[in-house]
Amino acid sequence: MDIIEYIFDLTGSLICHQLPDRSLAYGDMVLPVCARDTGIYAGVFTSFVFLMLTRRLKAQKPLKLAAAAAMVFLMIPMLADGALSYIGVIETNNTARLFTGLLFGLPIPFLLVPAANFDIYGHNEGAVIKRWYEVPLVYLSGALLAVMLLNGVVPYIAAGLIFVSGFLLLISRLVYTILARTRLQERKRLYGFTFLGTMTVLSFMYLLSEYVLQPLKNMFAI
Amino acid sequence: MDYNTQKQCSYCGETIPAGAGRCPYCGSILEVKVDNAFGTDTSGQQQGMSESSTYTPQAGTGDENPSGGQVHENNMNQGTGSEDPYGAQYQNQQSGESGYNSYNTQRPYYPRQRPPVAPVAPKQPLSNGLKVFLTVLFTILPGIGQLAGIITAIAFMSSEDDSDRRSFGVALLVSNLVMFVLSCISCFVIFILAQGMS
Repeated sequence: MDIIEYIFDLTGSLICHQLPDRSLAYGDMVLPVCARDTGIYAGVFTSFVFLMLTRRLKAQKPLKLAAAAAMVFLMIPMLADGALSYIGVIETNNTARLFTGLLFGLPIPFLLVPAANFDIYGHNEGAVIKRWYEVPLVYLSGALLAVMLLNGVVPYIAAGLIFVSGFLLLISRLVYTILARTRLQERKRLYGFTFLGTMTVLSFMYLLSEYVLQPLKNMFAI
Repeated sequence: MDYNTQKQCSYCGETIPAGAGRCPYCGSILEVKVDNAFGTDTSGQQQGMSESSTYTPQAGTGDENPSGGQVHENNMNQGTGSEDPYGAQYQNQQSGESGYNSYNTQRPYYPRQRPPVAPVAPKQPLSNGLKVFLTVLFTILPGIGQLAGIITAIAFMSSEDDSDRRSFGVALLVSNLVMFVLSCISCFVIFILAQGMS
């Protein structure tokens, strides 16, 4: 349990300030990231699970413009909530942070997948969203997960795994997308370089966190 | 129809399936074989044609088939130019000969070529200056800039038959997503610094 908790905390320290009063608590255990980041990575996790279950990780067609605009529009509340609360205009709470974060995280995989697979010169097969009701279905699933996280229905280990999985899926898929666009088409090499690239990014983030951010946090007593 | 063997389009010269009724490259209507309406074997009369005569295959479209999509059998319109203004009469005018034999030894029946369609003006490619401007604009505006960039990128990716816009759209989408995730991940650095300053 200690090792798992340490891994969760270490992963959370790469990307989050980890303030306890801004994080969801499960009894005396606090989630490794703040409520906003929990929402973001829960959203990313939900969308990736949907794409995996529907076998659409190879989809090439991007979202329709109206759907993309609607999903991107729903990302704005988190930006507004974060910016306005940082400058002290509004008071926010963990519930708002969690749900605005969720709205932010949900669309990202639907944008990343066609960004990697899109064929510029040919015909694109398979859309990430095929029927109109899939969008509200994904959002409802994400909202259900957020409610369960907020009320402590999801065990600490499962909540931590959702965060770590969402984070790793996001980073690895970003690296994969960049590599896929560099015409590195051979699949084995692509996966190999994606693994190496992800490890490099995580190592860089660890060094940045360990030698720059943590000393800063200690210095400012955050 | 035989789609395995190939022939050359008599209009544009591209290699096309032998059974194609329309050239997929230039869109020209090619001759298509049909059964003889009277059930007689005309292969002996028509050199180069085995069991059928030819006609304009665009029934219903009107513009390619001037007689309203009716099938023109060659043995119905011999010398009756009024029934088929583009048939035998046209062939005879082209060859400078007249008579049944000359008709059958000529190219089977070429429909009048469609009137030239005004070519659709190709979209102007995006200028490099505009691409640089959009990329910089969407990059330097935190948050909202990347969101606008994502929508713009998807609009460009949806452009049909415009590889320049599609290519730029993909590049814009990837760069905006990377920037967006990086800026969100690094938000807490700003938070730490802001807390320290205050």
